[in-house]
Amino acid sequence: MTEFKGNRAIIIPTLVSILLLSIIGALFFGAYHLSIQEIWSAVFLNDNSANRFLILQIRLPRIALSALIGAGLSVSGAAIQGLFRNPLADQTLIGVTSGAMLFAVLSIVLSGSILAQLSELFKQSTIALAAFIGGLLTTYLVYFLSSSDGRTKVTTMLLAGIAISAFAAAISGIFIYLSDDEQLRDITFWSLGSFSGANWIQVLIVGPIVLIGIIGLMLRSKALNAILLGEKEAVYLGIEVEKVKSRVILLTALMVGVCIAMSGIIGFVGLVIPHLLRLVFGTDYRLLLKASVFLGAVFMIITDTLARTIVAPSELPIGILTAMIGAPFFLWLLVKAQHQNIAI
Amino acid sequence: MLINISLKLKLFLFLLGLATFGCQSSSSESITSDSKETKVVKEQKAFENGKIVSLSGFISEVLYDLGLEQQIIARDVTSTYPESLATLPNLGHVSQLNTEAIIALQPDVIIIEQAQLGQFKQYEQLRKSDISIITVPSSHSLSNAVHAAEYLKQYLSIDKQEIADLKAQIIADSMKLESQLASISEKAKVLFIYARSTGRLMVAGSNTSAAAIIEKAGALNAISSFESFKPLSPEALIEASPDIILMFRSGLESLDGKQGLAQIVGIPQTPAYQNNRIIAMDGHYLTAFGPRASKAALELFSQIYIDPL
Repeated sequence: MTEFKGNRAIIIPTLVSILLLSIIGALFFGAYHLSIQEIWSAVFLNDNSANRFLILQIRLPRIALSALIGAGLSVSGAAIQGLFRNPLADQTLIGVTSGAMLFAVLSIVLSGSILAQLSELFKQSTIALAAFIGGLLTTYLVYFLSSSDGRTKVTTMLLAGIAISAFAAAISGIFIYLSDDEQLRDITFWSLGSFSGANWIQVLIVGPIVLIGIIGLMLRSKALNAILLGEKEAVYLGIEVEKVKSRVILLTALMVGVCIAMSGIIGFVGLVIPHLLRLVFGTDYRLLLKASVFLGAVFMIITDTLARTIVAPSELPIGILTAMIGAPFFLWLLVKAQHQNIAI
Repeated sequence: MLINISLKLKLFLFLLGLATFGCQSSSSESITSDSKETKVVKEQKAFENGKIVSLSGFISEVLYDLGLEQQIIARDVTSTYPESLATLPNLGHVSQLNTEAIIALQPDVIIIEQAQLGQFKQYEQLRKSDISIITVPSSHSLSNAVHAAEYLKQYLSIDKQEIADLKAQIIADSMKLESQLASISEKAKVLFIYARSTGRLMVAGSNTSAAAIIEKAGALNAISSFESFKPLSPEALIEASPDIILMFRSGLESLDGKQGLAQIVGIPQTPAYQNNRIIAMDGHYLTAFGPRASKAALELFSQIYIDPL
């Protein structure tokens, strides 16, 4: 564990300021060029309805949704890493991602045939709902398989998660194989993630779940610190380890499920943001979870701003950018840490 | 523990309800307000010289044919014909649109095919901004372009003569086709193979655009046992035993031509391959059912029955 040599009290306020700055920054950038005065008067003076619509109905909900999803994915990644006591863990291990993928693929492919009458207008909501249900069901299955006598073995869970994810991926594969060209395109884009349809309804659905998730996980940050010592040790310290496990998994599945449902799969964030913070500040979940919330939001806002501007008038899937920006930066940190002989 | 579970269940059901409600309310609203919108547009009649964003290759070609090309200011990735469209901003695929960028172009109207609505996530948002959206119904018929033109006439100022010309040309082509079809004694069995390199080979079942054009050209679609596209299998190939294999030119190229096609198990055993009856045509031309659909059907007919290459 590294020791951060600085005033820990300023970490969170600093991150919050960066978050505010990035929200304001993201408001200024877009394919539609608006000057600072135009943005100011559109938001506060309500002079020009077109600009106001653009900022309040298109740019702002998109920023809000990306912030919520960035926060949700990275905080749940941090918690899962704590639960598995493994910095390489992320949400995919509990099956939520592959389950959501499977159900989304099913709904995309079957909407072409069986569900043809439900058809076009409901397609997006059907995919979202299917992904959410799929994520929760698969997670429940993984949890159920690794629990007996009210105890959940984390190692069993890890292996069950891998096996069930592989199985779900295989079934997804069958349907991808059966999909026609249009469906294949939908599936590919879905698995690369996007905020391109972001609106306030999505924010209203994601918001409460992510906020409940964040608070729920933060309440368990001390327990996660104790689990870091080992499960038995945590029990001696008076932590109800089993209860913590089931809560963390439930909260994570809910959060990640709703995030994936709205935006498709956005990889890398859940793994890298907490890991990066751990490299810099060390593993204290009381700090790590909070910092993950803010840094995850900042990272996603910045990446999405790039996604919607750099190739305008079209846009890049967000999942491509999160990995393209995150991975090199992460490698640089790793190399730097190695040079300084810091254990990760 | 029991209470615990039921609590979880309740929470789950609550969230489920929330999600359903949220999604559905937005969708159903869009249906009703769409019809309202359409009415308003009708009364005002038309986007005289209005700026158009076309999100379908079919629509773009129809607009071009009707002499409205000057009004198109941006296009989607499938709008490839005529080639002059390539100079317009490309908005990408309809499922991956950049809402702001479309608004930045300040179009008066966005035109899309009805069948694409499910991928058009920005429908609601764009409708709420001052941009009108026209959704054009389409079908697999040779007069599809005429129907689209007549539908668009309600909103755009289209020269009546242009539509009449299009109609006359399609009728002439259809009659020519009709008379030629009469001379056919036995229908050829045509298998359409969609290829995007060897990793992705699909065959067209019934109810596909490929099957439709094959039937228009007076041939039989080799597969009638299933609908839509399915992965190609050697057994299905042999069972279908097509007289002719039809492909997109780009598809055949992705397999490195006929030699590449022969590498696919089952292909060399088909009568089509043995008699060297492989037809490759431009994908958009063949299956878009645009203004050139009747020409495409005629060309396909002559390639099948008159002058096999």
